[in-house]
Amino acid sequence: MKIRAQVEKTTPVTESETKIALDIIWHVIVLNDPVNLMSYVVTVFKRVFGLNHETARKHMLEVHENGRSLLWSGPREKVEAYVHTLQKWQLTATMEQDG
Amino acid sequence: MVNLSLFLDSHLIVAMLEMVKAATESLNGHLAVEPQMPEDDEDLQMAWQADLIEALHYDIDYLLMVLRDHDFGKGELIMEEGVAESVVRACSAIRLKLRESALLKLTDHQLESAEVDILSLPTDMQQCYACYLFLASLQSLILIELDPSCEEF
Repeated sequence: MKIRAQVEKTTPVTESETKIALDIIWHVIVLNDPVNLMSYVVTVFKRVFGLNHETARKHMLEVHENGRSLLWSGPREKVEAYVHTLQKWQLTATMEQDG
Repeated sequence: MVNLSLFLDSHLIVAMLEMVKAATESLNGHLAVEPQMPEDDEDLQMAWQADLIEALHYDIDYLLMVLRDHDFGKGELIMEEGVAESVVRACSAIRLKLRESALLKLTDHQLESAEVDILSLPTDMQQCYACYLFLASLQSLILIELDPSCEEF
């Protein structure tokens, strides 16, 4: 009985924390490097995010000219998966929390 | 399928293969670039890094397989799309490693614009830079086969 009472007491707190974590938006950021070819970066953006050529090209130029580009935003788990995939393609990718 | 048409001097292939193998050995168990990972989960970081290392070595094995292929540089070479993707990723990793280990004296601008007087470099650096350019050329050829719209770059 005592154990059950403790579980009931803590459950609402866990739910609240989960809801807050799910509400937070994260961003996939790609940073510039002087090594990877423009054509390579465009191809990676197309393959990883399914972008069309013009959009992929726009992001590549943003990386090249501004040093970084925001590629995707959403829940943390998906952002982690995208960043990990971009790193497998040897791009300098990182995740940032919104705000 | 990716169909590469490539004619190269056999001595050049041997020299480039040696350079790639040396760079590969220095990558053994390591990544070309330190990845930025989620900071608050040690288990995730370990799994993250281990998976990147495994993927890198899988890609490098394909690059070495292509460079060692008897037909490489003698005309037509056909590879599956997945293999071609591995090869271009491995080319990037080796180029990043060469930049970090041997080409740090070259500026970002020099590397991006390829405005380097190769004969003015010390001999060992000339070889590394030649390998760096060779891998970029190989990457470019494969990328055009994978995605013809890349020809504009």
